[in-house]
Amino acid sequence: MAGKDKELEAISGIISFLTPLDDAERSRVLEYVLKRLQMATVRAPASSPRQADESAPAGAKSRAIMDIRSLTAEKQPRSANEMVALVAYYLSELAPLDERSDILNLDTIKRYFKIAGFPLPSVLRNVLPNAAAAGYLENVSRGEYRLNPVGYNLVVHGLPRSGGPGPAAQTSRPTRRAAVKRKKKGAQRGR
Amino acid sequence: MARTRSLGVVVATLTERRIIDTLFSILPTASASYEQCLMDLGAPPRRSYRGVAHELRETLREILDYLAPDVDVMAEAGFTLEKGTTRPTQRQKALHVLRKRRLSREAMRAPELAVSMVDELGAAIARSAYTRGSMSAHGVGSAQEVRQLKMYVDAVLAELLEIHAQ
Repeated sequence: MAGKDKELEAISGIISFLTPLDDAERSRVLEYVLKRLQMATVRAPASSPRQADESAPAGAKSRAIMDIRSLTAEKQPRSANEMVALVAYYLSELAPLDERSDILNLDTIKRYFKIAGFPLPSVLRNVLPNAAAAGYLENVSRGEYRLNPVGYNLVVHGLPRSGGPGPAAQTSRPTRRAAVKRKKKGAQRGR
Repeated sequence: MARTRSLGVVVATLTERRIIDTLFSILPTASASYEQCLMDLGAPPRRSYRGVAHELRETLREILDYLAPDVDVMAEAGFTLEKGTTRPTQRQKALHVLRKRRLSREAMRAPELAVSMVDELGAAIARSAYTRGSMSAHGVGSAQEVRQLKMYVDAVLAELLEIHAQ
């Protein structure tokens, strides 16, 4: 009985502390307390537009972003692989119903890269197999791919990439011969 | 890390939840293995943690096999088998996926190290049954070691599955 009273006391205490706060403040306080007590990690209800975006179902999000160009501007893909995942996500989740499709092929990629103003890769035919090899798409049939859950995570949770080292610049790697040449030059200077 | 309350409920962290959900849509068996590990690590102390360690390593192996099948890794230009192996190692597979994502060398270093740690720690836990004299003192593979192993597995899974807790 005494235990129960303590619980009731705690509950009424928490309620009285939280009542004067607004929704976002309450969420922050509860989240912090739970983390501090190592009880659980809970997600606070959306309090900022960015959080709202992330937790909202795809349908709700589609009201805010309807075209591939603004989605590209928001998510800032840094490589063709990321852009392919973005196009696949757009087509399966956000595109108008008459455009919507789960399946991607080379023509779709060409079309949406152009609309989004994203540079087309020099060897276009490799773009889908590369994105699949990176783990973002799954092969459905010859030349046709579909976004997989890893690609979905990339677009929804991973983009835009925050600071830190991003993808490697798409310059060609120095050849072994060039490296040996440089080494020889350095050795000659050292003499 | 997941915690067990007195009622036996395991509460997964946001990252753990995302790992379970993502794995479930790709490899339901790996998802079940991972979830089982969370429950086992949150449950009262066990006599042996070797099974938990094995489940964790299996989860990672399955996802690496899914994302980087042997044939694809071996077909990559410049690929060579590591000494004493007949197929690509987990480290090679993880690097294959990350290279395809065009990550910089610096960005690849942490997951590469984590995969190596999973290999080493996992093997150490598996060996512990033979090398430790007193099982009553340690159990087979201590909970602490397995929690450490899970930390590395989580790091690799989060990278491979593109789970970034924000």
